[in-house]
Amino acid sequence: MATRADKRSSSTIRPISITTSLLSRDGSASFSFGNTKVICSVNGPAEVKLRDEKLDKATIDVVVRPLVGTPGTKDKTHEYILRSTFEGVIQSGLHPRTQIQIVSQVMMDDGSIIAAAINATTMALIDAGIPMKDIVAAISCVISKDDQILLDPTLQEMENVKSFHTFAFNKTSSSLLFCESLGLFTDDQYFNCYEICNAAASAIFEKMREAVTNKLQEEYHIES
Amino acid sequence: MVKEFESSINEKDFILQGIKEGLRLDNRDKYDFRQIGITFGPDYGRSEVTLGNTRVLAKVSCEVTRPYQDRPAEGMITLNTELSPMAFPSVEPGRPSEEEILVSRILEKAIKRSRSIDTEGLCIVANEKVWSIRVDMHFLDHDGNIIDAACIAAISALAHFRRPDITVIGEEVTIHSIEQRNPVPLSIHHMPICVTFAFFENGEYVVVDPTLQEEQIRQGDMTMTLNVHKEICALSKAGGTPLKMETIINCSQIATTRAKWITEQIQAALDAEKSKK
Amino acid sequence: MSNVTNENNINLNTAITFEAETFRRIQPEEYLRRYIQQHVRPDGRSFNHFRKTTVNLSCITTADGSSMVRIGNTTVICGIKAEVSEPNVNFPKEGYLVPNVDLSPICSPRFKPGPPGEQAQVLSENLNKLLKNSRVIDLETLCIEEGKAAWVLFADIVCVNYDGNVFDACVIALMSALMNVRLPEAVYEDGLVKATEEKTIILDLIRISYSASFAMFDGHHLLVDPNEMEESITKDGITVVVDETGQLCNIWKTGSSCSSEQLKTCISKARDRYADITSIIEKAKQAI
Repeated sequence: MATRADKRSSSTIRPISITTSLLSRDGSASFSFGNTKVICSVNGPAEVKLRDEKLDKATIDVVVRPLVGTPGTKDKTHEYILRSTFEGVIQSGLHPRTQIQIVSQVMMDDGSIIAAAINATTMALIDAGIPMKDIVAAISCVISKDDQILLDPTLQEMENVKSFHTFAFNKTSSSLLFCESLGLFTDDQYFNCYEICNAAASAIFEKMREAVTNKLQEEYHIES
Repeated sequence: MVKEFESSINEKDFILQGIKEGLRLDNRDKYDFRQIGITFGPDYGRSEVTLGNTRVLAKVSCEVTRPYQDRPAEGMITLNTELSPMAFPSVEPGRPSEEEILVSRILEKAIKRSRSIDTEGLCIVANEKVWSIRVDMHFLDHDGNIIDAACIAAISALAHFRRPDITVIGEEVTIHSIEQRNPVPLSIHHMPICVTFAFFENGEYVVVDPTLQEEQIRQGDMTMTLNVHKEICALSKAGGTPLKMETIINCSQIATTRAKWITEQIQAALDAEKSKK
Repeated sequence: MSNVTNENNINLNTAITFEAETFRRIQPEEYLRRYIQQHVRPDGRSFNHFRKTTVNLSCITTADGSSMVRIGNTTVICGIKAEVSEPNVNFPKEGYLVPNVDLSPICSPRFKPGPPGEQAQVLSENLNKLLKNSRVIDLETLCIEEGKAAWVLFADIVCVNYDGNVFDACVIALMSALMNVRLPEAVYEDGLVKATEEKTIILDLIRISYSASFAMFDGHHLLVDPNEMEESITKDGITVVVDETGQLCNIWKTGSSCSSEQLKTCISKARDRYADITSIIEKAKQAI
């Protein structure tokens, strides 16, 4: 069995914590895997700038802000990833000629940041009450130098690895929405990671469900 | 572009009437601050500050760079105060608004120009290598008075920050990681605190720490930056209603007591954090 | 998007008739769907057919290495310029390789002049990640003197004509331009770098990898090497990068859902494509 710096087994996710409605926006959520934390806010459907207006659906605007420094190509790529992942999930056809703005702020980066950003966005969209066809959960894994698959790697574990994979799945059909795999890997390794991450995604869905249930119980004073 | 939320005329009248009678929506005295919450960590140089519903995250980071030619023995301090659409839905990323420039100027004056941080102590090898300290402030939620909140966040993050220890032998510089050697705190000369006032009815009525709704109906504002030694570091009043001399003197007296109170809060939070470790 | 069933559409069509071009403009998605139903694509290709790919090496004489790649109408030019610079303090033994993609208004009216847009930044970032993570080149070989001087290779990739699948074109252009680089032999003496053009060195590439991109239409039609029109309608893209041993270097998938079987198909097609590109580049090498 693998020994990891934080004494996790190779297929354990760090403690997940989800907080919703923490900002005064239409929807907001923070999502953390251990020390990795992303806060996300959603505004909309609201007025759209004329040049971004789409006649048949809502414009989805994504802003990703790094913790340190000014936004660069990495953050632009994250914006692209979030937008392309959620464009197909949000029922944007229900709100034509409006804008749905998603702002994602990195609070702490200790590895698997893009997965945390995707999960935070899902929760913020749910919190904002934006109609969606499905919900999305993402998780990362690495294949270490000794060919072990480590789920939900920390920043330290992401160094000197053979390959790094991030997968995002939807809930209803648990099929792949987003995938980024980098490094060198074989087909078998890739599909092993795919299976492990797919299983881990359902654990994240469970956490998301819990967060939503808790919030509703609190809001409507329902005894469980 | 999302438009900023505006209060209705009735709400505005109601708030103004309240201020005239010495009452505020959140049951505060006109010279009182909202509750301040300061949380640090888990890593060095991170502080999240809440001022009522206003929420700011400050993160301090450092790197070794070459110094400016005209100041070869001084380290650098950079402040980044880019407004995020998370707190300001009307902000367009990449295009600084008037508000953003104003905020960054005031904070720059408050923290850098007041010489609160010893920059000479950041020098490693003169003309060759110095520490460059960077403070990134992220505005997460905006319910008025972001300047005071950002200032508290920045100064408390700087006080919490530890940079890696170094050894210099001749020209050779070794940087010891945080695990190897105890990191070193920055030397802070004093803690500048911003206190913002909002004026109504041609300067007749004054409140401290205005909320977003109060900011929307104010006729003028003034930010005083001072420290616990009763020294004024900066004073900025960019336009707005003209004020009487007495008002300013009066404000400075209120600001002194508030600055002392805020410094105590920061100190208490820092001490609590220290005892945790 | 289209809630209208095909049946309804046919009825509609019998009532009103359009020129094909008008149909394409007002209902691009339905237009493409009609072709796909007939197992053919609007430009006459089958689903599995890549467009004609050509590579020209050494096309820019002022650059230290260059190539021009055409995939159908998509044309990109890559020029590599070598400069000497001080290595990064944290990596004193390494040089730099900086890829940069430029999508200027010249290649398509959809791009605006000024600072690079999102797509150009994403392309640059993905190329950079590919180079770094699958170790195409050992950056230590670019070092001239530890901590003092190293080569910086600026790989500027300019798109001249944008007709979809620019990532594949960029990867081929970058790899072939890297193969084409001739660096002058440089020595470090008393704070100066002396370079002799008489003796040149070829870059030592650890790994050469090529990519293959796919578009997914209606969730189950896999279109190989999509052109601009197909790309803008489908929005779902899969890119697979493989190296000469068939090992995977990068899988990048965005958009709506796909199954693992579809991924497997993509991977095997990417391997076939690798062999084709290798032979194209071999021909180009002989042509210089």
